[in-house]
Amino acid sequence: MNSIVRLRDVSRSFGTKVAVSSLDLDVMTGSIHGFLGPNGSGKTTTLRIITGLMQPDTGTVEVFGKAGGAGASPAMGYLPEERGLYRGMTVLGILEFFARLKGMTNPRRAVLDWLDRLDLAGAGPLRVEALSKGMAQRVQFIAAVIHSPKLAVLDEPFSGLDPVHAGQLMRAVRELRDAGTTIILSTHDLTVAQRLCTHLFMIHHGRKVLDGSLEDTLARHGCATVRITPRDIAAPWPGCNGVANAARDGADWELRLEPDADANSVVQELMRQLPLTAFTSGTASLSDIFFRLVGVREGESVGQGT
Amino acid sequence: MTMLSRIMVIARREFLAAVANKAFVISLLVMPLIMGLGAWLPGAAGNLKTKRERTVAIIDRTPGAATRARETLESVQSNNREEDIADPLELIRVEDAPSAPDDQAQLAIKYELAERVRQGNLAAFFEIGRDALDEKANDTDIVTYYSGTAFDKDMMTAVAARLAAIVQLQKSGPSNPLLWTRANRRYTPVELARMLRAGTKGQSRWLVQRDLPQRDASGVVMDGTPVESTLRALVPIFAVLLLFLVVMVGAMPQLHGVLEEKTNRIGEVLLGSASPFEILTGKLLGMSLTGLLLSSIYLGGALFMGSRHGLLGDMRADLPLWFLLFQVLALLMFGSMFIAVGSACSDMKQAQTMVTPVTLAASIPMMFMLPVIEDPTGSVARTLSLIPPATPMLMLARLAAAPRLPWWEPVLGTILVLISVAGALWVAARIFRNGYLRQGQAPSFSTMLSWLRRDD
Repeated sequence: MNSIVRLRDVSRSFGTKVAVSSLDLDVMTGSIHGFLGPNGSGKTTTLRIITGLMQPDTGTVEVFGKAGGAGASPAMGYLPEERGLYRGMTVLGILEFFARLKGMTNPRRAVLDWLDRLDLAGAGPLRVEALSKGMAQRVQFIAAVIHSPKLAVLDEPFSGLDPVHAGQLMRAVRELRDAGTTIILSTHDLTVAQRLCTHLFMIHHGRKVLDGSLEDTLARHGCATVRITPRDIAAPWPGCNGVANAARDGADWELRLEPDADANSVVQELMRQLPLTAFTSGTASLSDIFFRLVGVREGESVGQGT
Repeated sequence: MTMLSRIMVIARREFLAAVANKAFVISLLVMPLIMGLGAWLPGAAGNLKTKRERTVAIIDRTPGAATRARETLESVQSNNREEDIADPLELIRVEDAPSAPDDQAQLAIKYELAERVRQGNLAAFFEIGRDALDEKANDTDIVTYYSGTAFDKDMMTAVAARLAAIVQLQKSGPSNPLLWTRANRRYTPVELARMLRAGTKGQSRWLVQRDLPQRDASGVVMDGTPVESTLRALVPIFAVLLLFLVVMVGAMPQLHGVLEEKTNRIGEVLLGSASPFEILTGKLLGMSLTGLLLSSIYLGGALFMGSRHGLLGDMRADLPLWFLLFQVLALLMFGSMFIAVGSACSDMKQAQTMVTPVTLAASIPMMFMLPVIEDPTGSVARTLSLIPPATPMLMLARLAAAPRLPWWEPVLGTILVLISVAGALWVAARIFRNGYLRQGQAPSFSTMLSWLRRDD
């Protein structure tokens, strides 16, 4: 596979604040590349650099094999994080407007088809101001991809959507990829990222902390985990061989095991020291990996970025 | 997809967004309504006036022009009666006044007639110039209309303009286009009646209106001063006001539009589909089309009403074209600046502060409009009208006030404005590019100046 997007040593600052620093990135053609990172990590800045809306202070950007960001190329579709629509226009009018901007000469059929796919059939004559937030969000998504671009850059495409419509959108993203569109999306929903993305790119404080395929990432950073519920919930951590990290989570302890540790042995040793009422074993999720890598605890906000 | 196509898509949206809303439709209907009312009300008010017979006197300094003029006017009157046409001429009684061979004696006669006007015994009087029938003489000053009223519409259109036309038509020969079209045959009184009833377009060039003669402090009789400037000023004042109005009505919403796009976060979506230059150019094109539509409708209405009421004077034929050209240039120049301000600000409060210099630049030429109209060929008017922000308005005022302005002056003005428009577009594009995605505090002037050198 070839790189459709290539960043080398890209840095960008705003005054004294460093937004991204020395980033390298290759987005492979045909992939769904997930951008992950907590608030202010530099996700949106990186996406804007890729789209050409922002220039890096240093480093090189290459999109579609050409130097510089994608700009307003019809081969790109962009759904920004901060998005809006002309409130006085109809859904049909605004989608046809964006489709024409992207070079479609007779977009009516494609517009109606997309509205139907995203459960918006019949919304065409409605004015944007009459739409619910979720409906507007789906209309914005259609506006970004209606022209079947080679590259779709989607900044937080699922934020604000209920699970049903988020699921619809995920299906649409997969169908786009199957039809030949490379997808870059940022999300703070790690479950979505794990279900949808083929590749992951995680940044924290403007620096890359993870970059690779989903399988590689889970294989490399994943590990066995055990969750125990002690009978005496006030009992202190007794210590146990094979446990790399133990974190209290309410009445439970969440244990991350060392790479060569055996979950059964760990549980047996613990039961000798600490009477348990329940235990479960499993594998670290993307969420676990994320929290470990960025060093924040679950429950802290990991959404909106710079 | 070419750049031009994207610009056209944006221009189309901007145009439709501007014209396909209630405010535009209402303003479009209200303006002609006001213009129509303005034209109808004086007539309606005139009908409220006491209908009384008025007498005018004609001094004839030619050998017999007045006699034929009276015959023609009587033909018009009788034709009106036959066809039951209401005409102010119906209540006008024409009497002959004596004439004298030398100007001094003539002035004394005119003073006597002026006294009768002042006393209310005479409504007005006319003087047919000594050279009025001379083929080789200038076409101006054929008839002089003396009145104590600056603008008596009935007297002007029903008598004065017709009288001037009739006398002019008495000149025979192929040099007169009206006669030429009739194969060198003189009009019959009935033909004249029909023609004059259809309108008296163009006759004001042959007509001079003067105040009544008066005695000065030392008792010397002075001829009345021309009052044609009052009427002539109507055309340039209207043209400049309309141009200014359309700039404000057409360009100011662009500032609000860009602010709305920033507030509603549409900007970044748009920038994903078109470059800043394409968006800016598309907006300006859409705005110019909207402005041209407004101008054309208002201008068409004004020309129609003006010609019906004889208010166009000797307006140059190409003035409407110059108007539309300067209208577009002014829209581009000021519109690009309004868009730049909108793109640099985040809310209306910031914009109100920053837009002041642009509004001032658009308004200042209005302050010089009257001096320029009063002396359109003077060096002050020439200089001011060649300073680009003022050129569209002041050059237009000069073209309207001085029909025989040298051709190179408006052409030079156009070139200078085109250069300025290119500069304004460049500055606006730089500010737009850097300011469009910016939120929060408005940038300082020094920050905006730095955007002209490099991207933020």
